[in-house]
Amino acid sequence: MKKYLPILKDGFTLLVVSTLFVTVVNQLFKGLKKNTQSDSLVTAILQENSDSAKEILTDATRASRTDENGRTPLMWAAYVNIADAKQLADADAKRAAFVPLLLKSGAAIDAQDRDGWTPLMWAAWSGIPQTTQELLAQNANLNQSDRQGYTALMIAVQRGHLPIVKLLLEKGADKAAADRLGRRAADFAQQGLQKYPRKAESYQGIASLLGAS
Amino acid sequence: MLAAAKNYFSEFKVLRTVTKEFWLTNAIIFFDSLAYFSMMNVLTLYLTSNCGFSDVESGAWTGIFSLYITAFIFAVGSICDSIGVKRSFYIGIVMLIGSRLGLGIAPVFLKGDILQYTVKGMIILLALGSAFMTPVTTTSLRRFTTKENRSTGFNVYYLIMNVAAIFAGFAVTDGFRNSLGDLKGNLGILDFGFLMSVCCFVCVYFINEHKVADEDERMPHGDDKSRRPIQIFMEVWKESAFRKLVLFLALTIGVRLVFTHQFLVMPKYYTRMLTADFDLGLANSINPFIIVVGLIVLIPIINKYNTFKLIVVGMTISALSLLFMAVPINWILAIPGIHNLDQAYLFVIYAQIIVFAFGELLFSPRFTEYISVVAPKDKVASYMALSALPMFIAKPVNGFISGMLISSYSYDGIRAKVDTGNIAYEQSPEYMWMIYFLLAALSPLAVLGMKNILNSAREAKKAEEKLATVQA
Repeated sequence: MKKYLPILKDGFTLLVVSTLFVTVVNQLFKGLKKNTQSDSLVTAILQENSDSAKEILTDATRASRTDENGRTPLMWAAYVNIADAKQLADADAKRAAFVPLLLKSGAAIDAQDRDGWTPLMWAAWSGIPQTTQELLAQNANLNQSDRQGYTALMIAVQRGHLPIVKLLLEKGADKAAADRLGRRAADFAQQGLQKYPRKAESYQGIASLLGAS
Repeated sequence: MLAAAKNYFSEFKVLRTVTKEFWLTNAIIFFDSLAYFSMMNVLTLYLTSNCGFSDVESGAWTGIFSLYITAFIFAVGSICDSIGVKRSFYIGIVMLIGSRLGLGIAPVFLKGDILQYTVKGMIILLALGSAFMTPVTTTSLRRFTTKENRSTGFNVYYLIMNVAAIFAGFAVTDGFRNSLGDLKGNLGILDFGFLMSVCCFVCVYFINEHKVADEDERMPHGDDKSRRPIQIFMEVWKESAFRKLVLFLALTIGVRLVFTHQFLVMPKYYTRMLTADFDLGLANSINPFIIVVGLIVLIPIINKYNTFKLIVVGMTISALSLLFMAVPINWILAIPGIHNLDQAYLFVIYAQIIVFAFGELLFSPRFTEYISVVAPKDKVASYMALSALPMFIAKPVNGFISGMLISSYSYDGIRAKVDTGNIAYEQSPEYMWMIYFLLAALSPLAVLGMKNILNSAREAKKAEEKLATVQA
């Protein structure tokens, strides 16, 4: 035991020094940023754990709490960034279930984040039709625009999400709305055709729905 | 090039005489490196997505993990001389088995604060286990090789570690994440790490530590007391050559930290600027692949050039690699053949990885060489061990900084806002990379500025050696 003692002593000293150092650095950095904590409700949504979300939502204020970018939990539920079609469809089915849950708990359906995005815009960007449908069923504002003048329809068109464009148009989205640069949804379909030749079929379908072909 | 490769592998013939213990040690290195690198590829993502840590917290804890590894390596560095290779391996591997299993299953059974505290505890245990592995594997290799085949033995070790890093990326990381999705995939990778640790345990069981290749290696070198890190530090710190070395190492931190971005910043940057199911493992496999090819083909050619020049040129190339990601993304869209943001981000990501790896190939091996050049002959090992000091301080600070920068400039969902023109340059991920670029660019500039001071240390040592030869 005697020969291990110096090693243990050094180990303990270094552990204490490291921990003190980390604690000091942590305090310094915490002072630089207002919000360094994550929201457990958002974590539950991202993990698609509805049981955990229900438990958290017993606190009535949680559904309307925003993060540092002004995003509400409902916006997080409407946001997915996955390329694989199967994984995206799975995520969509699970995320759609959070929409009525959050709305029942007091979430505002047309809340806007720092850039003016609504949950419907996030769903349109993500390309998740079931979630979009849930939002539309709860009368989400179709023609709300963001700081740049983008509507949910323009966003879905820009991303080449044909099923979302169909849903929005069926509900009466304004095809003629223009962004700050004067571009309409049909212009985004044309841009998409040039920029994403692999998704040409989707963009052609969108262009024909918008009457721009 | 073919001749260089042939020459490199012909050296391996000397390993015909090594015992099975040497190969078992290399198998342990392979299994452990597979587990380590695949985990590092997803650690920040795991902490955020699976455990609910914020970006700031996940960056901080990844930095803390690196800090504890370095601290514990200092502490346990001489342990296997005291308790033997086999027992040291068992201690390290048992800690790795426990911590990797704990990290892999904790998010399934726990939630909230209990989960986060458990994960933090497991990270500290994992750091201690990882710290055990580094000195024990090198001691084991030293014991199971002779003077004749030792340097080739260490070349094999370095090669195997890099090959494991390649497989850990495209095969393990992408394999799990593509088949199970990003959330379950992260857990699968940690559970795979647990299995790899079990394989390591089995390999250790078959090691006969009494089969020492060289009798000189049976007994530890020097007494334990003289190897204690804190004592060494107190002695060495008084020397001006060491202080100059620390200055040199501190000046080069900006560039050397870029390597840590691969695990701290890149996973979140890739998955947020492209998609959550982006093949980040493949991207992280490129660096070790270039290093392996470079080791075999380029090193003999590179070795002909001056060490100091290679360090400066290598660091400059590595620092410049960040410029790809730091310029406004619209500039990249102006390059012929790049039509959309997906292509633009893919281009900057791969260009940075490739250019950085070439720079690293030039400067990284020169660091060890430079340290051995400036260190007094009898203190090379101490200088080498203590050369980790600037990184020891920089790693956790970098962890916190990276977390802060990611949460501000590369937060989850930012790509949607980039698509719609809501993000100005000074709010963009490109701006974050510009900050990192400026930090990295300081390194070669500072080293050039301090050239005379740094060179005087080398000259003084040369003169000292010359005098000693004359006196002898």
